[in-house]
Amino acid sequence: MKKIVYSLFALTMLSMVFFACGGNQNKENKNIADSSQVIVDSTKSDSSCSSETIMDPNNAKPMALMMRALVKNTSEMREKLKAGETLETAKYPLVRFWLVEPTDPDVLEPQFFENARLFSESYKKLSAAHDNASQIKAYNAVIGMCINCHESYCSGPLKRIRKLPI
Amino acid sequence: MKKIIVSFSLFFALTAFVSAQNFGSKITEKGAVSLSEMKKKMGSKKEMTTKVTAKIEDVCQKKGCWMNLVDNKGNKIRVTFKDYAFFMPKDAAGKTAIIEGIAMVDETSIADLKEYAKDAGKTKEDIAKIKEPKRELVFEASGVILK
Repeated sequence: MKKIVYSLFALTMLSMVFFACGGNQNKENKNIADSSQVIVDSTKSDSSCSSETIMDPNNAKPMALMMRALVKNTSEMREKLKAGETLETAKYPLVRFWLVEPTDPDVLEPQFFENARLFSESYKKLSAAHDNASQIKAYNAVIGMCINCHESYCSGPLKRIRKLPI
Repeated sequence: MKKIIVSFSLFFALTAFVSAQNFGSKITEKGAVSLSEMKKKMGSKKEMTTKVTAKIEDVCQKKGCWMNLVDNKGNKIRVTFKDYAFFMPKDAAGKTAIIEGIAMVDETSIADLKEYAKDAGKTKEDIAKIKEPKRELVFEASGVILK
C-alpha cells in the first residue's frame, strides 16, 4: 500500500512539473514544427520555468510565423541601413508567405495575391540594389507594400510595421 | 502518513494549475487598479501609463491579438499588445488579467472596428452595420499576467 501511495505522490509531482513548465513549451514546439520552412523564434523570451513569459500560446499558422521571420529580417535590415552599411541582400531571401496557410483563410482572394505579387516585385528590386542609398529607397518601397496590404488584410500589425520605414 | 502525502500531492497539483502566467514583458501585480479607478485617474488626459486589473470578457478568436476587459460597473476596454509582439490564449475569457501599459483615447477606424467584429465572430449583418469610426478609451499592454 505504501508503495502505491509513494508512486502516486511521485506521479503527481512529475505531472505537476509537466503542466507548470512543459505545456507551453509543447505548444511552441508545435508552432515551429508547423513552419518547417522558416526559422523563427516566435514564442518566448525566457525559457526558465519560474520566470517564464509567454509570447504566443496559440498555434500560430505558417503564414503568421513567416511574417514574424519577415519582421525580424526587415528590422535587422533597417538597423544596418540606418548605420550606413550596404546590405548583403543574399542574407535576406524573399519569404514566400503567400504560399502557406494563413490565420484567416478569407484573405486568400485575388487582391491578396496581387498585393503579394507587387510585394515580390518590390523585394526583387531591393535584392538587386547595391549601395546604401538605393537600398534604403527599395527597402522603404517594400515596407510601403506591407503597409498597403495590411491596410486591407489584418490591420493588427500596422502600428508595428509603420515604425519600420527609414 | 498516507493522508499527509495525499494532501501534499493535492496541494501542489492545485498550486500548479492555478499559478499565474506572464505574457510579454514581465510585470508584477503590485499597484494594479480597477477599470473605474483608471478612468477616474485618466480624467481628461489623452494618454496615461498605468496598471489595471479586470476580468476578460472575450479574446480575438483568430489569433489572440486583442481582448476586452470588463468590470461589474459596466466599464469596458479593448486591449491590444505592444508591437503585436505577444498574444493571449484564445480561451482566456472569464479569467482575471493584470495589464501594464498605456491607456489612451483613440479613434478606431471603420476598417479596424469591422476587423475586431469579425475576429470576435460577429455575423456579416452585424459587421455591415458598422459605418462610423469610434472614439474610445483603449489600452496598449506591454505585459500581462493571467490568473
